[in-house]
Amino acid sequence: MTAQLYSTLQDIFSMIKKTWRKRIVFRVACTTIALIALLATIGPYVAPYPGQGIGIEIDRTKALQPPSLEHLLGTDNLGRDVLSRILFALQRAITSCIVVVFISFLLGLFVGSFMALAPKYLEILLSYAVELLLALPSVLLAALLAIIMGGTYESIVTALIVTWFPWYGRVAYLQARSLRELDFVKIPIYYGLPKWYIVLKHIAPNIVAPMLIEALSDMGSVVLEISTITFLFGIGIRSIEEPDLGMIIAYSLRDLTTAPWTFIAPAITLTIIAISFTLFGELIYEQYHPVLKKRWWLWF
Amino acid sequence: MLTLNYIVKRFFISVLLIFGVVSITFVLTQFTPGDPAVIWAGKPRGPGATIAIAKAREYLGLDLPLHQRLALHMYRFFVGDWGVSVEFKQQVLVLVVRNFVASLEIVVYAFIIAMPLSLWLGTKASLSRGGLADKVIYFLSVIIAGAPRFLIAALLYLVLYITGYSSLGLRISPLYATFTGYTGFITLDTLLNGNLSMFIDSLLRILPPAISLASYPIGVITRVIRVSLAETFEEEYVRQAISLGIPRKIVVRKYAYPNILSVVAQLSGLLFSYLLLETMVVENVFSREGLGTLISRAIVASDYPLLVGATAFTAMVLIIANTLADIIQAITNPRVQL
Repeated sequence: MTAQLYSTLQDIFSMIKKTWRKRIVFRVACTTIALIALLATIGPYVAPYPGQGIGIEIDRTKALQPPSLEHLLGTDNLGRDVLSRILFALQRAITSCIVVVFISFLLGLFVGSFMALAPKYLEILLSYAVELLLALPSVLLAALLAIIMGGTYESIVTALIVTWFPWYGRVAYLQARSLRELDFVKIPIYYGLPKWYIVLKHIAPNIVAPMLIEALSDMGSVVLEISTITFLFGIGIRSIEEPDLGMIIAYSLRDLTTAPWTFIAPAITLTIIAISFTLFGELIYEQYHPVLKKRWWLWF
Repeated sequence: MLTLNYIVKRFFISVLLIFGVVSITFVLTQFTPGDPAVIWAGKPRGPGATIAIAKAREYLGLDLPLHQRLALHMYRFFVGDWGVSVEFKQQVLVLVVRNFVASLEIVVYAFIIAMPLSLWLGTKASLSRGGLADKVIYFLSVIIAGAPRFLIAALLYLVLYITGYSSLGLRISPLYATFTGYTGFITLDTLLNGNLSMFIDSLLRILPPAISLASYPIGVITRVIRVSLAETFEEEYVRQAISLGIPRKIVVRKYAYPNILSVVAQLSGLLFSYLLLETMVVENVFSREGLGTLISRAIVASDYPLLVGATAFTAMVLIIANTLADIIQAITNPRVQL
């Protein structure tokens, strides 16, 4: 098991390394991702005004100041430093995004590969269930769960897991279905080994590498979706002072015409996160695509 | 014949899925943690609370046995009695349909804007793979699809506000407030009515949100067309056509485009669901009425019946849209039916 895990990690690492060598944009995207991860971990400790970052310190006399040396990204309508707010919000956004992607990835991987091994009727039933879950709108589900669970952040995370894991389930199912016809999966089935063992030992290690790359590149969209939900409904927030990218943007929208920097700074942060993760996935995909690797000019 | 078989099969699957949606709403209304009646009544407080909860209990039929509750729920769902909204005191189905149509109008306009533009851009990019035009189009499409919709919408709003564009906000100018149509699509209604000034007014009001929403499909479809056209140009039959000396325009339009039609159809089905989510954001920025504003008001009032209705309705529409996309894909590319 550890040897397989090691070889999987090596696969992913070699994919990244090969693309890194060929593409300059990929290097930029990777560096940005590393920087975001770094800022998300140490952000609260390096923020210039931690009290204002959490939102407890309010100074109305300094409200809506444009960017200056004292406040690098300006201040919001309650006189709080926007940079500190963003640094605090970043940690929260990245943590919840990792939780969502990780859990839905594992769930999808096991549900999908189990589907391929299950008896025929269960396979059909589960694939319909996956299709049904794919049709559920995540935003509305988050709103529903917010009412049931009392508007906590967990309601958003749960809703996103429920709507994201079917995607991974479908991908894992399609890949596992092509694997199950091969001998190294068939023979253990004839031996009568338990299903979970075959999934763990024979199927999962072979499909985990491309799926993990996809999951990594989906992280940007998950961050966007979480902040879209908080932007729209303000759920998952215990008080309006709490730093959250979606909420910061939603409140700054009121001062859009008078103080655009309060809006643009957090929105650009989100954009950078989303774009760098997208580029990360897309460029690896292009590098391993037989046709797209070719470069050709207009020749007809 | 195979196609007809497939269509019939897809149709029955979508009916099954809609039954799945009904059962999800059943679980959501009957098996919530705590008392389902309290949540259904909108977590009431104050003197009238016990009456409201008793009414909700009676409506949900919580005293009946399980199979009768399920039958009651099924019957109500298909008859269209989805409960009464706590906040608006109106039938849920009526409210949801009205606001959904308002959101759908923006999505339709966004697709009308996005389709030709992304086809043109994608073709341009794939014809000069590795060249400057390809790189520029690729990174532009990544940026506009990756940027959050509220950024693009707010920037557009800001620009329009500064330049003094007057048609922002409401769906139609207050001057024509008494106007009511049949379909709910306000631009279509005004056109059917033959009132040109009203039509132009509503069109001017819908264009900014539609353009900012269209940025997402433009980015995504351009990228997909770029990839799949590049693949198509490698196929034998296209190479054959090129070697025969057929002009480029005809090779692209008559030989390559039919091959990517199925991919684009499938993608549009998937995009549709995502765009409905994004419409709520765009509506919020432009403060138009629609699904987004309806839901955010429903959350504040803990309007549970309205939210369940909106979720079920949206899921049903998405299932139908995906089925249609699959059928179009099957007609254009018979291989998917296997």
